[in-house]
Amino acid sequence: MDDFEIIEPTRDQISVKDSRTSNPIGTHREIVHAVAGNMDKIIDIAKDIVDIEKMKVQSSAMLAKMAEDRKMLLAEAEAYVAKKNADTHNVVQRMRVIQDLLRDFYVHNQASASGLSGEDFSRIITELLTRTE
Amino acid sequence: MDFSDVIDALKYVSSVAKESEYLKCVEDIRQSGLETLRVEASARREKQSAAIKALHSFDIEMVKLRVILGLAKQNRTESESTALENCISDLEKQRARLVQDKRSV
Repeated sequence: MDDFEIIEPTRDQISVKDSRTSNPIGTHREIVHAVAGNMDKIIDIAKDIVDIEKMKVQSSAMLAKMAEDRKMLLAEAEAYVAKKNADTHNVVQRMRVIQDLLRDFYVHNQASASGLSGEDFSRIITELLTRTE
Repeated sequence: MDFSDVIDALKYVSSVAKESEYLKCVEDIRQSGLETLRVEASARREKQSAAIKALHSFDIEMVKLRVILGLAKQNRTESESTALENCISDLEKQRARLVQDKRSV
């Protein structure tokens, strides 16, 4: 028992202990006070964050729409070219048929040989025009 | 550095981030707009090229037709003449439509 000595707690140790136990309330009050005092700035920060997200969403929506527009433009041009080529082919074929008719029955003067009268020729031309329109 | 300083720093960072995001969005949209203009011009060129090709094909066939028609002129009766005139008039209308198409592209 001679090796051990009972020491009374000093004032410093007590004060440290006290500060540890009383701090949560004090800190909480300080935080509430600081937040209240800076509420307008905190709201501004939140507003900035919301604005950034809003800009990102609006921007990506606009970019997606533009990409869609580009696709539409290309598809439309492709469809136009295909239709125009088909129409041209159709008209050219029609004109070639008329040329062949004229060549066969007039230039080579084979109307009488084939038995095709002028009225028949007129009818064929009219039908050709009606069918290919 | 107290709480107020931290808030001020965060506010500064958020405003810088907002500005930077705004500039990035504007630049992205500008680039996309330019790309759309390029695609639009290319599509228009493609369509005009098809329209011009159609017109040329038509004109070549029309010339051939007129040549043959001139050769056949002497043998035409009245009804044949009317049929051929109708045919030519119809083809002329088609040409006008092709020209209109080319202009509208």
